[in-house]
Amino acid sequence: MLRFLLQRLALIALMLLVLSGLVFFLVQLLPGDLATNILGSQATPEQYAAMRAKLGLDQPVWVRYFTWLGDFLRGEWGHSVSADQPVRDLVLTRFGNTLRLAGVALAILIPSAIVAGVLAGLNEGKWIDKIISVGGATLTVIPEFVSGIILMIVFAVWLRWFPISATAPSDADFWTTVRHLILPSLPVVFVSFGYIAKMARSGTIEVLEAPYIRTATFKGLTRRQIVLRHVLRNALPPTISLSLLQASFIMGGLVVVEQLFTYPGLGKLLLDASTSHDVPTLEAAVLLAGIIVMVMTLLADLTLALLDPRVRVGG
Amino acid sequence: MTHAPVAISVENLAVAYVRKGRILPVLQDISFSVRPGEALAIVGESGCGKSTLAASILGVLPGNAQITYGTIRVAGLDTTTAGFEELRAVRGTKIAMVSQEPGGALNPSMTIGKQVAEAVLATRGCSATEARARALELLTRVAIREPQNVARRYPHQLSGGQQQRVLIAMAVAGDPSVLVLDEPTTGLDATVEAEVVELIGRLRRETGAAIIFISHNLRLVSRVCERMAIFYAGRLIEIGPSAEVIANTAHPYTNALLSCLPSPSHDKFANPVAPIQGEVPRPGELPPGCVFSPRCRFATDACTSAQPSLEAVEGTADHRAACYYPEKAEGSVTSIPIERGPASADDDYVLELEHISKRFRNLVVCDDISFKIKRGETLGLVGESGSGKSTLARCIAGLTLPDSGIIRLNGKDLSLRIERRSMASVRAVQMVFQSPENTLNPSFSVRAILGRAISRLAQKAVSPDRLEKLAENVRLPQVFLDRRPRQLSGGQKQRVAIARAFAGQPELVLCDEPVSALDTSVQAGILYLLTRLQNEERVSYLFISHDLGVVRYLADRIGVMYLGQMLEIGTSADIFAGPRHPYADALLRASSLDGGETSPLPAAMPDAQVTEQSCRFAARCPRAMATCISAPPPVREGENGHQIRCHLTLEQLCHPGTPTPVSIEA
Repeated sequence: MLRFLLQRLALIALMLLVLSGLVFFLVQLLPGDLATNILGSQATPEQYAAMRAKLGLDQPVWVRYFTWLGDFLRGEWGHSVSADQPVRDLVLTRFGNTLRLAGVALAILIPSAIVAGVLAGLNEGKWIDKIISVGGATLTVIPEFVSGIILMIVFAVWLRWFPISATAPSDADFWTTVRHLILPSLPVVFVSFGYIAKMARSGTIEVLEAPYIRTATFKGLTRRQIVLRHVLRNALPPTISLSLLQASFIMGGLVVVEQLFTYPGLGKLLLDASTSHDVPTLEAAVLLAGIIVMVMTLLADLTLALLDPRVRVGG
Repeated sequence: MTHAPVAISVENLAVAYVRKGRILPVLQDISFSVRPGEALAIVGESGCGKSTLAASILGVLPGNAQITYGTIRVAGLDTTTAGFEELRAVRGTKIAMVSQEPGGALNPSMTIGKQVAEAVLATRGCSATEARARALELLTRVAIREPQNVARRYPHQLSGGQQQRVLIAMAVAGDPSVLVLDEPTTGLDATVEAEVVELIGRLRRETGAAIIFISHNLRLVSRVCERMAIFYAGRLIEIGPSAEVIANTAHPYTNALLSCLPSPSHDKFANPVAPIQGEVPRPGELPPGCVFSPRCRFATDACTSAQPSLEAVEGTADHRAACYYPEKAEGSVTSIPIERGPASADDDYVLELEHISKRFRNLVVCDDISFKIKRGETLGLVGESGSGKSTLARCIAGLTLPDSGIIRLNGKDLSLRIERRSMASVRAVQMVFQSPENTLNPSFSVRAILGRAISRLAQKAVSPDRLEKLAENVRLPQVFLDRRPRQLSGGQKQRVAIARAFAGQPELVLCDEPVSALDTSVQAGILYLLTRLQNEERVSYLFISHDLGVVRYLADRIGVMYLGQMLEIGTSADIFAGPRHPYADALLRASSLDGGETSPLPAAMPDAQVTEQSCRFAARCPRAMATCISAPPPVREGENGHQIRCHLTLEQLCHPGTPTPVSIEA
């Protein structure tokens, strides 16, 4: 198990390295560069060349990459030109904000989708199953910006149940902060809800047909005992593991949502940094986002292993 | 009829499946009853409605099935109409069930102790602590060694035999008055099967429960059950005391079932086992008249016009059969002899193995195995699961790379790696596996599967002629050529797998438990086919099986493997006549070829205790001595190349001087 964990961590490090290189070189393909961004379109070619030299942009791209990489690994993440702030402070603050939003989204998504899916599976073919299955599929196809705008108009503007701003005042307590984050997290929840519910549903149906459910029935257990001790115990681990894999979808969805709700998170930072050619900021943000996705994937594998005795205990 | 109380009574039961708006009858007009303490066997081939009967009794019929007529009474409750809560109240205490496939019938994510305790809690009001203690008692009662340890384990950490014992422990937790056993020994090794059957017999005497034992193996159930009911195509066609039914068979189908089990009176050439021609009709395709008439030699106009009712057999009190000509039943089967081909030359060896060894990490799976197989000869390989039989076959086929050793084919060295073997030698060594489900590609038709075998193995162009000839050779009707594997029955799939192996005129076919997953009636057909093909094609077989009855029937010579070692090898006649290794002796008694009482082996397979210095079998050997632990046994040489690896001399092996400490319960 330890060996498996170490291998996976080494693999994650390697993937992050490849990711950082990929981002660095891809940014070069974007039209314009940082010097034009700072100077604007009115600067003379001489001013422009001087600015490029000052920023180090006149050096070959691979030299710049390794310089950046060396600094980054030493902990010197550089200075964000577009935000005029140390990259590290900027990115970590934004990262914290995004974690809060993602946390609220997952806290709503995973329990509700699993409960709905299990309910649908236990009542296969009945009306409750049809509502959940069709409803889940419908929610999945609504893009985040569409559902986001509708939610905003209905719940924040008309009904005023939730604040329109995603950012709580800095002195707000925990529940107030959460209240501000509910509306922006819902579009992301909608997109993944159907998928997770479907997984939970098919997992439940599969387990219901397993011979050991018959054995449990023959023991004289009540329906409640059969469902709680035998069905859920076997249907949930794979579902929970799969829902953690949804983390990467959620990261993608957050970029849109944060933009829509002007929430200062990692997603919005990614977008801003790439449009302003702020490579050090972009790199740091991408690597953090990559770490989240990879760690969640690892967690998904680990949960499955820890919840299944056939993997945990061995033969 | 007596007026003793009955534990369960089934009256005029009829069950049907509804498929695509059609009502297909699966069970018709079933009536029987079982008294407390009595055991009734339900016997028949797959598709005869046995499992539907069990599901009806237990009230768990699938949604598309319905009981169209009749009642089933258990403890005053009619299970055909009872709801979930009414049934739940009697489950465990009045009626319990042991299902087939013990592996799947246990919750994989719950410890054994918890699962058994749960059964205790569900059937009696007691505290969780008491339930745990009672669970341990139950595990002890079903003869599980180290119950404390086993209780902490998960199902996947137990052997098949242990899993089945746990299921039995859960079923008897609430002292049920009716216990239904659905093929409880299918898939288990012969020795483990004997142990489980013995356990069921013992529990029966202890509990006084009425037992319904479902099986396709007539002889097996006759050891435990005093009465048996034979089912065919959803009908009860014969019922009576087991001894009476076997000795004085009154229905041709029962006789056919009896004749397809290999027994010492059979000879694979002169008096081969007789497969039952044709197949069980599917629901909805029942013939007019007697359901068995299409497969019956004696069918007359009367038979094809009306189904005979269950009538008492003349001169008996409790023996009834649904046949117009019960007196003819015993002569209903004639076996078709196979003409014996020329004897194999003494030095014409197809396969020679020398010192084949294979380890998986610390586990020795094949330990210095050497033997030879002559052209046209069958070498049977027996031993329990885990003895290394399959690994050895895979080494010969090139599917597994042995650590060391020499394999010679027709006297020439054969590379251990399959990628270095010539096409001709790949063609010459073919394999037939246990489960044809997994051997045949489900997305190809039979025509495509066999066509590919012809083009690859026979290196010939695929023509309809060749395909049809190949199918004809294994007696596979032409209509099946265009079907996919899942549309075939188990026996038909195995015929396709055999045809595939024979496509390129092989010289050696490695058969790894080819009949273990099949019904006994289908098994007989495959055994007959294998004999005929061997005779026609002069092919040699390495035939792996845990069923000694089958091996005795088919094999010229037998090798007995235990924990990777060849304990004994010799001609079938010599091994069955004795002297033989104590392990071979135990296997023989477990399979009970002569129909007597079986006796289980003393203990389950030990994982440890075996050292390089001891005899592998010492830990379980009823005749073990001090030297068995301290020194590796010598090889004793008998007649006709008979070799026994044992500290006892041939003389001592012939005359069991010490009484065996194995307790055999009468």
